[in-house]
Amino acid sequence: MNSYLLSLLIFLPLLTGAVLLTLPRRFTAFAKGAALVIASLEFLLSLWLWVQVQPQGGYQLVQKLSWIPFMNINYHVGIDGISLFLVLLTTLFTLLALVYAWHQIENNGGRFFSLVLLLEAGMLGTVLALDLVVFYLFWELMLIPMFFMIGIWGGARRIPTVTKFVIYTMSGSLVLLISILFLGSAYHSQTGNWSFDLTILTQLQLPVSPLVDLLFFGFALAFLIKLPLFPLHTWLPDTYTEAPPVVTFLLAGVMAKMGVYGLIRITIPLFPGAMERWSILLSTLAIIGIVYGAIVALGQIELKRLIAYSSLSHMSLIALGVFNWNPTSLEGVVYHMLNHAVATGALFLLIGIVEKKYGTTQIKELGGVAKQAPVFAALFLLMSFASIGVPGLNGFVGEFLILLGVASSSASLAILAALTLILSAAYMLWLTQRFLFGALNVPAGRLLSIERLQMASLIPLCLLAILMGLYTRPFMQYIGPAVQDVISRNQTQLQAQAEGDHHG
Amino acid sequence: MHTEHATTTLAISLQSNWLLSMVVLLPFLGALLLGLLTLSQVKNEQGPSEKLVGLLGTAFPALAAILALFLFAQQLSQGELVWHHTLASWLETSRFSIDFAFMMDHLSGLMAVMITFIGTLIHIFSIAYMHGDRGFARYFTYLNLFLGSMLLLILSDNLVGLFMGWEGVGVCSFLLIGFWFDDPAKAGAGTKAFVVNRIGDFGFILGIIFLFWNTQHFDYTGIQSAIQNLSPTQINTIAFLLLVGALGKSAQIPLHVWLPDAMAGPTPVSALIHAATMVTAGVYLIARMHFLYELSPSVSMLIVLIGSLTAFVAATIALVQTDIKKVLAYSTVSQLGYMFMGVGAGAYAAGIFHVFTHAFFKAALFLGAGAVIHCLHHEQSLLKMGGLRKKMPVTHAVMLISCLAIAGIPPLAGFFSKDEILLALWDKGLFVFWTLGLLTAGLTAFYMFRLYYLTFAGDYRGESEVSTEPFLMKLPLGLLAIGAALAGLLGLPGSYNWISGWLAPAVGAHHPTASPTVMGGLMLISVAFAGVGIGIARSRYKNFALPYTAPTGPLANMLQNKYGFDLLYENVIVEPLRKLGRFGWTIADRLLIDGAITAGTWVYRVLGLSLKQLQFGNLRAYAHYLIFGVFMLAYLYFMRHMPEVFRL
Amino acid sequence: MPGLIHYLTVSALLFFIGMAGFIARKNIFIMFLSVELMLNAINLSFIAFSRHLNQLDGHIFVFFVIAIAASEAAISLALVILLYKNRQTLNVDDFNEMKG
Repeated sequence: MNSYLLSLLIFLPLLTGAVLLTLPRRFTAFAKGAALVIASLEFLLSLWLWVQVQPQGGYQLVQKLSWIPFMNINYHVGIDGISLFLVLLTTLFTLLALVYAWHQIENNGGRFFSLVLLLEAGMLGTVLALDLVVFYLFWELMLIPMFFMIGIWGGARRIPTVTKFVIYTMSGSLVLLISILFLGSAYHSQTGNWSFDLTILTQLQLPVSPLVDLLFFGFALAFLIKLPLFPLHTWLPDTYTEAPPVVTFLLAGVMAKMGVYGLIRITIPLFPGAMERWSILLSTLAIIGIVYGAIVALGQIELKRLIAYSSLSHMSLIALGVFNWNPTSLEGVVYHMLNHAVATGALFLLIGIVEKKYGTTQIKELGGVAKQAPVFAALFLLMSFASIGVPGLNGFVGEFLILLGVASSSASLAILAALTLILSAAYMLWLTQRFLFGALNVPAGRLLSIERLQMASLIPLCLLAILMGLYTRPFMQYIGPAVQDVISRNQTQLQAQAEGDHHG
Repeated sequence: MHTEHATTTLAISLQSNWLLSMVVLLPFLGALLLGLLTLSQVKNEQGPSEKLVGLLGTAFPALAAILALFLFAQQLSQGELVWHHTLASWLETSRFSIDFAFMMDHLSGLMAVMITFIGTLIHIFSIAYMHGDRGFARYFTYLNLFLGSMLLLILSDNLVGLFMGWEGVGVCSFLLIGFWFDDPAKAGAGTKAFVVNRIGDFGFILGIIFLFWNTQHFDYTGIQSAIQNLSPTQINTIAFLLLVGALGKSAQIPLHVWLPDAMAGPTPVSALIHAATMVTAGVYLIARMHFLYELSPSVSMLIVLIGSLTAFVAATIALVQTDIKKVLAYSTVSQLGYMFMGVGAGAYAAGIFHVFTHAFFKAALFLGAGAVIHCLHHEQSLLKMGGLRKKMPVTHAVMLISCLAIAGIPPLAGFFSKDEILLALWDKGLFVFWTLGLLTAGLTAFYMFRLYYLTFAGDYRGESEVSTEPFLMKLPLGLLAIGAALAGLLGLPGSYNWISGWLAPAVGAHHPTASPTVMGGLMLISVAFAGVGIGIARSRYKNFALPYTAPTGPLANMLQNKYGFDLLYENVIVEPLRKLGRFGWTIADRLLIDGAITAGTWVYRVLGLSLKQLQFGNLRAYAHYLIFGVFMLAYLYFMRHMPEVFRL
Repeated sequence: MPGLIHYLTVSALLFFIGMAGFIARKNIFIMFLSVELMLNAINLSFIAFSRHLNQLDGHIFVFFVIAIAASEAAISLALVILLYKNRQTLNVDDFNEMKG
């Protein structure tokens, strides 16, 4: 039974989503309800998964079925302490997104809800896949619902935006596909067997050569775009601004994390040597992203774009933690992925309410909102504090661990990265100062209030922000061993490689 | 008999150490309760009942104060007793684990008692001061939250816990400065305070991180035992980074700019946060890490330098202020400079002593000012006051005692603590800084009595009716005045210095080497300076009458501009960054990155344009291509594999 | 008794007639018939080879081709009718909307 748990998790939303998508428009109410039920089931399933998974390293609940035998491509899924939380994040965020969207998405909601389910399936498959071909399929599957969700329900400039988004993402993915095939054939020529299995390919001994470095970037590009790393980020502000808030919630909250996850699970374990060779360059780009994103956020005059650039800054910090690759920084990275999702996700949901009620997100047309909507202001402020890493809230834990980890490999990088402390406080608090405080200045006759369902989707995030800041054990208990395991396997491979070079 | 007694007390201390965690938790609990109460009544115009909120809001700090006092009393009776309690684990990673663990030694015990005691008094005062405010419940929520964070800061047994409290008080400070947020200037002052503090925290967190990688410890005892293995460069770097944090929180040059603006908050907040407790956290940090600073003479010298500069500069700015709270704010900055001079000179006990006495007389001064502002219906300008001596006798008495205390007139509190610091400077041979300190003392006496005479002497110059201060204001004022008068007796000069002996286990002993004659002489000089300051103030402001002519000339202009720090930061850092953010991204993102990508697409566009000529839409032509292609393929195939076909 | 070569000759002739028709005629209906002719020419050679080699593979292919030709006929005829309805002509030279 347990070996089918992960497959159930992936295929339940995939199949139901596909079926619901074909229902005619008059079944909208049914489709929405069914999607909500499935999403709740998924969340409960993933909670059960939390109980099932043991806090130890290595993949658990593994299922391996032969799929394309002559190339030895297998349907191979498994979970460990890192992917566990991304699964939980995905299922929780899907559920919250549906609850939030219940009234927010008015036009053709049934289709929207089934697309969200398909997206969930894509993200879960991406997180759980242990075979590169399966991984790639799910990776691409994420893009399709996203394309429609932005292209149909987006803002005024949605078509150019979604085109930009898809071209960016696809150019990364195609390079990834070529790289996967190349690596598979490299394995074939080295051993005489085919394999696209991650657990097998990570044992491949790759020489130090420009070709391997090229392959490394082939495997990294798609993930760096999704992350995004400076200067591959220009799709992000446009997309986050044009997409409907609930889609941005999923995009910034969950999908961006898939880039980080890909780096941790695939790129770096496959190419530990190349990662070491290129870590200086990539870390520099991450630092630029941190500072650049923050400064640009400081200058934004529109809410969504401001949070989008702040997201760039935060994600760059996460990327820096990945590139520095040590237990502490990596634990911080996994934790901070969840933190960033909670804080930025909630901020986008809140901005979605502003957009709907006030009809504008230009900061200069808004002011003193705290006067009219104190609860909204309290939530916004809480999430701002979570986002800038105030201790006692979740953001601090991740930031602290990442900085701590980065400092153990490079003091100067840590100093530069710590600038985020100052800059994030500057742009976030200046935003609250202009947006929440001051004299009341909102479009005439409009009243900001949080509807019950929106509140229902925000409360869990607020509770999580506080809980994860004070009580880290349920999370760290799983993350720690998993990270240790990933790092030690990497270390073994590096050593083997060094010995191989030595003998050769 | 004796051992039996010892075991019983040990048993008591083992059983009651959980009370230590309760000291920290109680205010947080109060904040949670009040916060929920506030949120539940948000739709209600009136908000929750003031009586309930005031009672709850004061009960939790008062309980914490009683517990702290109980624990402290145990310490008093048992000498070396240090309380420990681990509440819960906060973060366990593969490399280390950090707990919510508390430690109350002589230093943190003294601080905790002082903070809870003054905190409770200020809560009581606030009930009267905030009466009728729409945000009454919200105010007490923040204030409780602040007290909890402050106690976490003081009582934590490791640097990470201290940092959490450190940032926590920063957040509460932000919330309370911008408490009346509909005024953009007040909201802006909150932002400024937080961001400037974050500059300090930037250094602080890096200091904690580097300290950890060099000592493998976050807790004080662990760090202290491992500190000897560090190289001087490492020690200096870490000491400097921690100092940056302290500079931010304690409003020292160059990070002092936020504190005067912080006066936008309600006055009791200024008393509690921006005078008595939070801003002294920097001094506490340095005293707490004294073993680090003892190993770093150069950073200690830097502390003395910054402290004396701050003390002097702030005192001069205070000379020209006409807002009662601004005078007190600059005076706070200046006194904090004094404390820094003390801890920089290695007299950690003297620095903490000044923190202790300052807490009483500055809280009394701020609350007195609060009472004046309250009775004058939110009038803060000294020019609109005067003659209040008869109308507000209690406040007048309290203010007089506190002014004398801060001016350094014996036997009031400020005299002894200030003198300890000056003595330490003299002892170290830092005569330049001693002179600066002395000058500052004179200036302090002058501007404080300028404030005193402008407020209480002469005739009333305002228009509005003066109401009387309610009992809930008089009570805390009186208690604080007693403290301001008597707190100095804890640190009589020479061998009667109780506080220095008390703090010795926590911050190390410091014995002045100067002979009693020199000590006496130094005291006389400082009292003389204070006397001169008071005298000048009396002669100029005793019978002050409008119109007020602001001092002119280059010096006065410089003071009015606060030495241009604000302008400098605004024009050199803040505005350029904002401009960069506003316009930089259009250049970087739109022009360079998107531009490069668009340029790349031109290759494909040109290719497409040239190839599309072949697609002219005639089906039969395509059929020709097709057949031609098939024949070419067939030809090539046969050429290669069956060339004999063509030889037929 | 006709041998393999005869069948192949007929098949080739049929194929080239169909091809010529496909190229030369402008009426889309006739072009379509020409394609059918070519398909059947191929069918003929499949059958001939199948018979010659005594294997059934050719038969299988033929069945597939017939099936496809049938479905193609069904769809194409429908398309042709639609085209005529819309444009009142069957001249392929008039259908050039897809020009680049």
